[in-house]
Amino acid sequence: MRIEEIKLQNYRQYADAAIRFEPAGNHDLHIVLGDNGLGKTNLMNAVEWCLYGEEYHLSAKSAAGLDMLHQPPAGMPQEFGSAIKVQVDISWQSGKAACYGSFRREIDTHETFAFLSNADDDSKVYEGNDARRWVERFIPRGMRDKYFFDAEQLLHFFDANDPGTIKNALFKLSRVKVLDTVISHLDDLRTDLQKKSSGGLSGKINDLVQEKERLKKEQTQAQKDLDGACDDQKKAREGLDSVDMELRKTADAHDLDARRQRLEKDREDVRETLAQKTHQRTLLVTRIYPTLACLEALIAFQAVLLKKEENKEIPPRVAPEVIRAILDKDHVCLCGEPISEGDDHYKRLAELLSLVENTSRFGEIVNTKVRGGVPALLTGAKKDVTLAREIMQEIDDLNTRITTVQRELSDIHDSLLGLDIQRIDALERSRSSFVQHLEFSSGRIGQQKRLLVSSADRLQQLEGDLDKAMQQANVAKATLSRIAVVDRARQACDNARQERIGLIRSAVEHDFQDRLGELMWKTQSFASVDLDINYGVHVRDDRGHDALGTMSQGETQAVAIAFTLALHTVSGYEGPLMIDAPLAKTTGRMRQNMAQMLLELSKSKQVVMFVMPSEFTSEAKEVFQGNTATFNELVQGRYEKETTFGMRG
Amino acid sequence: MEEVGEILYIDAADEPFYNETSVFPAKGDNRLSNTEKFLLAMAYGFRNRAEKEITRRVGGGFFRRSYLQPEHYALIYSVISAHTGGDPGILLDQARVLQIAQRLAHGGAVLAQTDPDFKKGCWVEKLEESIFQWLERKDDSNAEKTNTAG
Repeated sequence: MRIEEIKLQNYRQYADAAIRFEPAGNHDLHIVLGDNGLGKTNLMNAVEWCLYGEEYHLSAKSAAGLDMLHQPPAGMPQEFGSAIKVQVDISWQSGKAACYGSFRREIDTHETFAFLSNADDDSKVYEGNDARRWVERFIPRGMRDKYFFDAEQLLHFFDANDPGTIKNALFKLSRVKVLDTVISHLDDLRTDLQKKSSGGLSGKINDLVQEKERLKKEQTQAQKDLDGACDDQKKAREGLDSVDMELRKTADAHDLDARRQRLEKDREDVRETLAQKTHQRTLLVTRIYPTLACLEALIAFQAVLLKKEENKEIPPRVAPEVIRAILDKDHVCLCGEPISEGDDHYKRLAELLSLVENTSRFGEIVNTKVRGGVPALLTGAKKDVTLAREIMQEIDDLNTRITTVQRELSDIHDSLLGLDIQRIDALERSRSSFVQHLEFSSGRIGQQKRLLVSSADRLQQLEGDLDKAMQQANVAKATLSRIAVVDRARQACDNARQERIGLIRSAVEHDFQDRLGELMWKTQSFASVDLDINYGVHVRDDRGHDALGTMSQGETQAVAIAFTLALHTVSGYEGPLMIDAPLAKTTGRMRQNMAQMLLELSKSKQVVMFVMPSEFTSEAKEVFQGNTATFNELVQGRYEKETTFGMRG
Repeated sequence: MEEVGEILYIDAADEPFYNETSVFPAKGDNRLSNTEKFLLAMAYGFRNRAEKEITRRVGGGFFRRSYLQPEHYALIYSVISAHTGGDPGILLDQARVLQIAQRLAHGGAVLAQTDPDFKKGCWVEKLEESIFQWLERKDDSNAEKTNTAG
């Protein structure tokens, strides 16, 4: 690719100017000659502004003092309008066909950037990012500083470009960066794909399948339990119906049985009362019997006593003291004569008195022990007999009652005949049991039904999840194959990168060596070049010592250019080389060599040099004379700060 | 004159009679005293002229003489008087009176025990029957007296 023409309008010194770089002869070398301040550097700035939107070579003063927009240099009227416009026309070979295009950046009311492709098969306007992609095809922004130089920049090339920067530049130029970017993208892509493929998906599917199996088993078990519960319910209901039917036949059996129990209790109570009454009767009989058995004797005895009383045959009680007093020897006399104790009369008297005393006790006995006894006995016997009769009646009544109860019990027994109360109780117990079974089985049925519904819902959800997981698995499977492709691509990129790095290193070293050989006449002092492992640039003398630090400014420029050109070669971007004041820091043979090198370089690529008259000395002229394709000189225009181009022969 | 003892005795052969529950229910507060039991046996013996000498006196005696009430004496004296020919003069010999009473009670107890109804436990019913027969006879006799008087 090369620059065909640069058109400027209202760009700093250039009110309306254009400069063409037509190739001629074997050398595509173009010289723009101009004094300081006429705009050599700004011409390079104009190209970079057009391509990248920035002016990299603007001096600090210019950057601070001059606003490019709508501010032409002092004294220059805006006769071409207020729009600032720079257009860079380029050409390139596409196969055998020559292609043309133009980058155009313009600031009027707003900034626009476009690329106009004039190829035969592609005549089109690209704007914005599409236009910027064309810039990247021409000279990528990241490599800009390897194509647009000034002398100062070349002098400090290796100061500014430390090994890291050089490595970075190399990788950019050689597309290793691109490969790095591709590899990084592939890694990102792989990470994304891995996420999509969900490494644990198979495990998840297994879990889901196991859960599904478990749920199915649970469902089967629940169904079995439900069936069992339904059977139990049916059996319980049948049993209950059967028991109820049997119990309906014996509806009043319990009433009868209750009546029977009451009667039996009554009978027991009556029997107890009867026993008490019998006891009373026994007591009365044994108490009455002696009186009634001896009634005649009593009556007779009482009659005798009454008769004796009537006849006054019951003697009064004679106290023993009276008898003793009578028998006192001082008082006992017979016919007026005292008698002694040993006397027979005395003895007969004593016996008589004793009989009197004893007989007088009968009255005492009757009065103290018997009197009132017979009537009391008879009265008591009479009362007891009355009582006994009452008790006898009660006993009869009780016996009658027992008989009645017994008869009723017998009737109940007849009524209950054939009805087994124990069986009825057993039926009642069976009924309770059936009711319990019925309730329990109903509860179980409800529970199992709820469980089945819950399981069915869960199963449905699970099947949905499983479908999703399977779909994801399919996606993951496809993704895995994509990952395999990505891995292969990454491996290829990595291989290409390694290969490229190896090639770059060797290509840079080789080309650098060649270029430097062309530039340097001191072949012993600068015998070889190499890149260390960190891409540090080393120029070695014939003994292998690093000679970079011992070089002159011109030699340093030459090494920088040689290295830059080597970078151009390996990058594949054969864009033009624009150098501002390339010979300013060289003199004599070095300047001639530098010029010669640039001339040689112009055989293979377009070289545009901005030179001052002071550096365009005889050594340079001798080399360039007759070998330049164009030679333009910057001249002052109509205004003090206006520059125009003037062709020199 | 024979001394009157303070304690009245029964024969050892009488114990089954006095312990027979169908005649003398053991339960309850309302039951016969030993004095009343003795009088029952004496009356039964008198009624059936079953006087029997006590040969084996039971140790401490059956009851104290002091427990006898006037109606008890009235019964004893009436029985002894009738049993000995109707002369109340026997009463002047208190020891003999009580001795005969003891012998009649012993005779009555022994006789009762030989009664089949006693063995069957229905001896009291037999007594009861006798009582009501006497009462009927007495009622008939009273009615006859009334008719004769009328």
